[in-house]
Amino acid sequence: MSAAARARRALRSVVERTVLGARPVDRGPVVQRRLAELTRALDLSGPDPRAAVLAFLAGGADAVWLTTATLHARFPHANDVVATQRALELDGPENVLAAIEATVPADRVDVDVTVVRGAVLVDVHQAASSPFTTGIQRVTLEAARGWMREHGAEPVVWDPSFNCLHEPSAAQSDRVDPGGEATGSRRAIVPWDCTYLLPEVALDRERSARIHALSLHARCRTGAVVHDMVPITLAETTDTGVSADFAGYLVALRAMDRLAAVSDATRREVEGWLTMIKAAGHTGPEVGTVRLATVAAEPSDAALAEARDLHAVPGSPLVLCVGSHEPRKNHVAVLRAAQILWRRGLHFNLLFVGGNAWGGATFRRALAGAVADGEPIEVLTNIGEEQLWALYRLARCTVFPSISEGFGLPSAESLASGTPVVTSNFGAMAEVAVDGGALVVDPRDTLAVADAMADLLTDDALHARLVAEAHARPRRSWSQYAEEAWQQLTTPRP
Amino acid sequence: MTDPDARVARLHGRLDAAAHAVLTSPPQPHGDAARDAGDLLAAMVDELISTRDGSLAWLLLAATAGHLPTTEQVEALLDQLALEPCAAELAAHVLRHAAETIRDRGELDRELRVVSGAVLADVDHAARFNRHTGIQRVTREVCSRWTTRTDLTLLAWDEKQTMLRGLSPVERDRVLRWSGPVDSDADDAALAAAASAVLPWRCHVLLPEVSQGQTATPLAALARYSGSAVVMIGYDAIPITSAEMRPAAEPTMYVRYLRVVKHSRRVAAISTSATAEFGGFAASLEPQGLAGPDVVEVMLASDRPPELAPPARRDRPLVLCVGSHEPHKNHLAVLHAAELCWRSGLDFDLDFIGGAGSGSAPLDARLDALAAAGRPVRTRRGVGDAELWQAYRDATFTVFPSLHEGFGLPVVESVACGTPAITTAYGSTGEIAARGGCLVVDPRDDEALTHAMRLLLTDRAELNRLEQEAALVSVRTWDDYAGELYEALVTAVPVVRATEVRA
Repeated sequence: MSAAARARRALRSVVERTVLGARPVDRGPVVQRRLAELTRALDLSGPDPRAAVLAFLAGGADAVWLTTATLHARFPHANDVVATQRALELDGPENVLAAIEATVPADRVDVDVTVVRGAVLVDVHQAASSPFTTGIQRVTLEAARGWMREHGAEPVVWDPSFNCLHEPSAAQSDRVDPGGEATGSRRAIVPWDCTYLLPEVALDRERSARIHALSLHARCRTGAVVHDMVPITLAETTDTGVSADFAGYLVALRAMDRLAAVSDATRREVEGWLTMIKAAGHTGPEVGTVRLATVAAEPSDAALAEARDLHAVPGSPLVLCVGSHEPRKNHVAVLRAAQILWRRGLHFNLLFVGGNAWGGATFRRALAGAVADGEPIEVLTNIGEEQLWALYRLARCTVFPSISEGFGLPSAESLASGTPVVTSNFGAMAEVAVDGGALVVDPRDTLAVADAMADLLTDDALHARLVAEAHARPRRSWSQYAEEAWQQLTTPRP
Repeated sequence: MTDPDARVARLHGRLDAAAHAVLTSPPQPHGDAARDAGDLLAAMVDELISTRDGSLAWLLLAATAGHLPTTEQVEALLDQLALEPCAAELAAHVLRHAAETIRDRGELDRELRVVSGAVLADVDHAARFNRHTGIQRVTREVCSRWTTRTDLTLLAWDEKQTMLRGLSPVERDRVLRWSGPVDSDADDAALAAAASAVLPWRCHVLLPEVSQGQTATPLAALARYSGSAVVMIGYDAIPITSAEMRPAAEPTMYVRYLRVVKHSRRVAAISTSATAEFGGFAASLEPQGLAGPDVVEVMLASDRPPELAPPARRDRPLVLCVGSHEPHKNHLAVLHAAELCWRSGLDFDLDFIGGAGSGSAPLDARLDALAAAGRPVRTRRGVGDAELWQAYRDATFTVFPSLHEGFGLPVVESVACGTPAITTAYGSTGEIAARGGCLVVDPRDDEALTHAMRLLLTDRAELNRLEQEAALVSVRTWDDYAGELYEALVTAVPVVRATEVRA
């Protein structure tokens, strides 16, 4: 579909919604359609769909969830399910079903609802909706593609107000599965007896609240990838409000069956949280580690040549530092360590690759001071994938003394490119380092960071040994990752 | 106000206090404030360069600026130190920090005391406010007992929330001799305004309150860098573990507090639930290279009931539910179970005692609907202590099926009055129930709760059995609690960590 056609369609849907919303809504036909859909999906036989649904509804909380979700084209919250279940006990199914029918949201009347059973649904809402490429988005798309290929998974997204799962739009489908077939029908999907997998982080409150109730009541096998726990364990390095949204996401995870942490470090953080929730009587999900893939792309000769032209200084080795300038990444220490070495008389160029981020003011100030002093520093904020791979290849070493990472992709990518790394001696950073090619130091000790950088810059034998180690590291593909994550997330509990 | 001589004199006073706490032989004074201040600063900067001691960096920044530094400010100074600067460069950094801080926040117009080797307690809320619920109560009960066994220095925050200060006489009385609300008069406010600022040096700093406001930032730096052992009482982590039941913004405040917890030395958690929460958080810190605090359980105490009149004679049972009207208290489940009991023909009164909380609208609506339908349900607000104790005594039994508690005071108080309680099987309430006098249920199982209420409404023998159990349960006293807390947080915690002792 052309961009103009997409825009026309979007405009039409807005007009339809607003105009329909303004008119008194006749819920009768839509209720009939959705009752019929429910009886179809549940194989409830009999001449009167409503009578069949009444009998089903009397079954309890899960039936309340499915009936409400289907009739409203909106997943209920967990406390709404409890309230309705109590009403069922006190007032009986007839009154409760009548109340559900009478409260079909006006803005959901023209949604086409399908109850899906036995399917594998992958929730890729954020990754499919955003053109930006973050680490999490990349993992999400790689996992989803693997599960679609090998296990018949279907990608699902949410409507903009997070009422319900939907089939992706054509544009969203294209992002998940370029060139693949997509109906783009955007019908609402109500899962029942399905497998629901969440490979990304759901920070929107409405979304996480509805995933919570889905996990409790939709009789689905549920699983999620956990990327990090930074908004709780290192909240001082995130923007205000993220922690609250993340706490809502944790509520959803609490009700799931299985989690796949991207590193042992993240798994240990999740285990700490699992201990915490015992206080509220929750067992929580089973968690295991499934490490991310580490694949280096091969930059073209042209890209290498261009990177050399732009960023290499003959006779002065390049030290690379990749990542946004948020406090957690410890870039001020990198800068100070470099300054110590320049004062000691070492020659090298320092290149930061990464965007500005929350809390980056301290780094910007320190950087401005160093640049004003004429020190050989360059900062790139927005470069393409291939350029980045070229820079990894070009660098003498990278520096990645982060305080906390879920996995630490830049370190793994540098090593996969054959370039040694100076990184932290704990957490996910140390885990990546274990397979060789890295020097580990205490990232809170700037002198130790400086000394390790100096070793890599001046000790050619050491450098050569680490390069050899980096090349010998085991490779790990995204399809391997997706398959192991699948095993972790879908294995039934013992 | 900006008289340069006065400013220099104040800076000199602050540096003098710091230097005498830190240096074995501070420089001799010459009687000229500017020159002496320069000598003191130079001597401390030399000491900092030779020791690279983070706590000295913290003290130097706090003393020169007159405001407690943030973690980032201490780290900026340590970064400078890593560049191996000359003494003058480092002194210039410290003075620049002081000048910028004073420009932004104003000058400290109090005398500064540096207290070494003592036990200090941040009792800001208990000192400045007349509330006497939960945490303030614990703070007052603990401090009034600790003060008899050690030279306890009580602290509040100054009006800018960036410096700790001593208390006024009324504030001291509020903490140590609480006997009801007292208002501060103008004289006392003047004494509070003039109270010395206090910097701890190699002290135990007790945090009996939950700091989630602005003060969490300087406290986090103090816990991490000051060289004093910050020890705390851990109440609960409900905003993180049960976020769906709390106001949406609560975790935002709470994670500020976690930054203090992270760098504290020891947390005395008030129950098995709180131990799981703080212990779990501490365990999750290892991947960022931090040990986290030791977490131990020191179970909270409660008040002993006063002499009570015998229960009023009633023609039908009274079921009592005590607690603020907040979703995690699960009062909607109590109403549902009660309605099922009423419908099955049981005749009893149901009283709720507790203030309104956030998110109570669904409960209010349900209460109104049941009252309108003629059910004997009452909501009592603004109930005083004596009345509450008598209400426990008069009740046939109490119901407290909370979804998440740090402690569960209403269960302890009910049993202390000899009145059985139905409560939650897991967590702290399960721990309390194990002492006797309680029936436990899964609070998420309406049927189980209804069954338990029906049992105590119909089975006189079971009720009697629980009453006899309750009569044998001894109340854990504040003396026991304060004593064990002192052992756990002061006696057992050396100020200098074993790994930090220098040869």
